[in-house]
Amino acid sequence: MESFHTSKLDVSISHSRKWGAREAGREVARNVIKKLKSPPSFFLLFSTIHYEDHGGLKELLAGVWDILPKGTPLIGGTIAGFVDNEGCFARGVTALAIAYPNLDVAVGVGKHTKTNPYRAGKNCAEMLNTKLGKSKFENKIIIDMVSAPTIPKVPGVERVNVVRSNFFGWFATHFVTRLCGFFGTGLAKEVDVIDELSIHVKDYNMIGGSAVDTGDMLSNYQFIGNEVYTNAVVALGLNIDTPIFLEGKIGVHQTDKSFDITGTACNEYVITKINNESATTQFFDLLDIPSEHSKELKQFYYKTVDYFPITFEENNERVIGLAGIFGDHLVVSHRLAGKHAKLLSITGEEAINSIGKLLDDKNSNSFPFVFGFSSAIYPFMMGRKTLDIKDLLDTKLGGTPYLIVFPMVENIRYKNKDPSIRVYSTNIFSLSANLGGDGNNLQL
Amino acid sequence: MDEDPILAVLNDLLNYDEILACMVARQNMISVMPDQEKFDQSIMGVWDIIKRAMDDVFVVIREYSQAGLSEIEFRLQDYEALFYVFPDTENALVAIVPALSNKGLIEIELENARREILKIMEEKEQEIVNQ
Repeated sequence: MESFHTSKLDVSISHSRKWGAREAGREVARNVIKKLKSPPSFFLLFSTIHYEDHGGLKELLAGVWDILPKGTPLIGGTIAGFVDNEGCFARGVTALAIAYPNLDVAVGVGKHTKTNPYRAGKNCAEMLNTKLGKSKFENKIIIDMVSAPTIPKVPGVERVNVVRSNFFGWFATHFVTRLCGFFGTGLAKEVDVIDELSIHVKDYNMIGGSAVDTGDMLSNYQFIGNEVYTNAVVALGLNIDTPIFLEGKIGVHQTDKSFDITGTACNEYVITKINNESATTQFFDLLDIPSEHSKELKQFYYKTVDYFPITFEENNERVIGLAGIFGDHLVVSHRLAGKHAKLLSITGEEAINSIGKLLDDKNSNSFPFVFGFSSAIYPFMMGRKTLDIKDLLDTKLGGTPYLIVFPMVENIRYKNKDPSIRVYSTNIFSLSANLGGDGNNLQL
Repeated sequence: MDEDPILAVLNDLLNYDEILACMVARQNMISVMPDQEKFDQSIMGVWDIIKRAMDDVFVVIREYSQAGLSEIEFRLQDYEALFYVFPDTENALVAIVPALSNKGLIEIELENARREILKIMEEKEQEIVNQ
């Protein structure tokens, strides 16, 4: 196998844990740049939401640009946390930069994803195509970040994703969710954005995720150049002379429980009826949760639902999670992919093993670096055990630079195929002459 | 004088909105605690009862830490108290967080803090041995 360690490819990953936005931006850029022998070809930047209250995300980006050479292509966004060679963190800013002569890079943005996701996806793709259309390098990948859902501000109403009142649930489903798209909040519509983006860049592989906060769904940010957006898709297109390795794996198991979705709303983002009954009541019944316990709706939402993803007989590559409860209605993380749903479940061990399986038969010489997106639900569920992911990556990859970030929803796509958009998965990207990654792992 | 490095770690934890109070403690004794004025003042109304409950939890920690007890938590009213035990000691990193907060992410940073404090403790111990 070709060794990249002696080639012209130069990879640097680092982070900052400083609290102040400007200082953290400077430090992460300085740490990354100093490990490169030449100026970076591009720069991927991911931060947790904490800088929102410690100077602001614009200030974070300004700090990065205090150090980063002007004109370096940069994209990124907010994530729930990250794992790199130096640790596992739920607060801080991290970056990956590559310096390599044999590549072409472009960045693209599509604004207003929640208002018009199709136009956002198309605009973003057009920017990439315009700049990369004449590239001579045939190995292609797009790295993307899309804004995740955000709970709208409604005067006099607490910003929560669990509402007990059936009336307010009905009102929220039929009016609030429709209206809030116009104000740049509400459902994320990643499926529409990524589907549309992928249609216009057919010969590109794709890997990406949804920008998020700490899971409260109050705000999230996307970065491109020196701009910060809250309702956009940003993407970095890369055409390179080296074969691309791309692989994804989901860490769930099937249960024997299934149900029919008989009523939906909001373009299939809300389940109103299961088996022709109240969706919420039926879901509790399915999990054998007694009705008196269902009164503790918040307790159920925050302690239980993460362990029960949903897939579909019609499309088992789509795995969704419950994103909110509006009275009788269930809000899902992204669009339904069928009417015959199957309940899945997950353990922390399965989550970690799924990442391990991605790296089966690989070792510290397999890759020049590993970069990936892994479900934010993993750290939400596993807590301190998330640090085991770092131990696993250290064991499998040795000193190979690696960075795994935790977005809300993950997407992966092999060129000329349909994208797979789901939660509870880990997707990784690297460069490798001999290890292509074939997508067979995408199946449950 | 330089700030106690363990105190610096605890003060850093108090920057998180979700960590209302934190300390390194053992039964009937608080080893290191930030200035109480830095705690979220909302917990002061229940502080005495939380402290009493903590003392009872430390009885369990003392009994079972040698057997490998590493973590314990309880919920009291609208708060949760998390205890991360330092191995082979009766000490624990204690944090009070709001009930039903996203504990997963908080736990990652608490574990990072626990490891940092453990490292400081080991370095201090080594210094004593060297002397």
